[in-house]
Amino acid sequence: MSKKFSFFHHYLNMSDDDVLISYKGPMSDVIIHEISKEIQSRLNSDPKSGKKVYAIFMELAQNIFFYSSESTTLGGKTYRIGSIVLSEEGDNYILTAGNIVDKKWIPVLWDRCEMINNTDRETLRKMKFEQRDKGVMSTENSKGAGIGLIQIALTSAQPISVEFRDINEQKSFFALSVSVKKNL
Amino acid sequence: MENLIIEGVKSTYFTPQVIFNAQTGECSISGESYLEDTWDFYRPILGWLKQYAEEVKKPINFTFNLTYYNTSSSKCFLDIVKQLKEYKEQGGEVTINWYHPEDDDDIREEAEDYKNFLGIDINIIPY
Repeated sequence: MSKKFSFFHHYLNMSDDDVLISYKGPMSDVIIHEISKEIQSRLNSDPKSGKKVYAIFMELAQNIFFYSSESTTLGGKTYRIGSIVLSEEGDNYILTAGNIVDKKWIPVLWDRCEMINNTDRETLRKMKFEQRDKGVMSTENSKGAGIGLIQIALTSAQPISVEFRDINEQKSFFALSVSVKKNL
Repeated sequence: MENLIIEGVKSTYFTPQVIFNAQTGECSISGESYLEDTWDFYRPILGWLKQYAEEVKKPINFTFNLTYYNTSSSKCFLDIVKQLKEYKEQGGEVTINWYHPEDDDDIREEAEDYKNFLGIDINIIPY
């Protein structure tokens, strides 16, 4: 972390992949809206896949909006920080979202992703329904319905992949990557 | 009892259009649902349905016609369907129609899940 950020290396990294959209910063409602419009317009020639990418983006963005443990204050309002990249890779669109989380959430997130990848679609649908049914809104860690990850996996219909990197004693970087087949 | 009418608004957030008619029992939620405070928006909607079931006691023909909604909204739709089911079990006459864009399998699957897991009739209609 002591190394000075190299914008040149950042630029080269981004150039390796077919990046359609890339954002890192405060995940405000306005930014979410603007990126979502950009996704819709970029993928409007591939409507069925495009709508899936849009729906997954919205859930990923809301995850950062509610749960990222890094934040900044702009104009008196506090926004949580994160990054979302949309790229293309062969027959797929790839959405990757990353943000900083408290370390205590890692086992929970890891187990949840592993469980989702090892469960068939019918069972996931049932689990999503049951969790939505028993979920209580407005508690500390469920500002939504608490089923975003399952919904993301169902919409993508492909395995999700996760990555964790320790940042310090308390915090880790958490990244989630999801694919959507083109031309569905 | 008053009708409940909320204009659909598309700005940074998306408010669905809500038209609940207390005279005819025709109720619909349509458009897109992604709100700043989801529960705050849907609480009065559930309240209206409860009041209708207690005071008006006439048939309800409920229509969901949404092209996009987030998972937080889906939690509130479940609460609505559960309330309609409760009204039906108390003797109310309830019809639920769930329209979905023809190519949107994700919304169709959700409607199927409400139908199968709650055990209530829902007419799932592609358009």
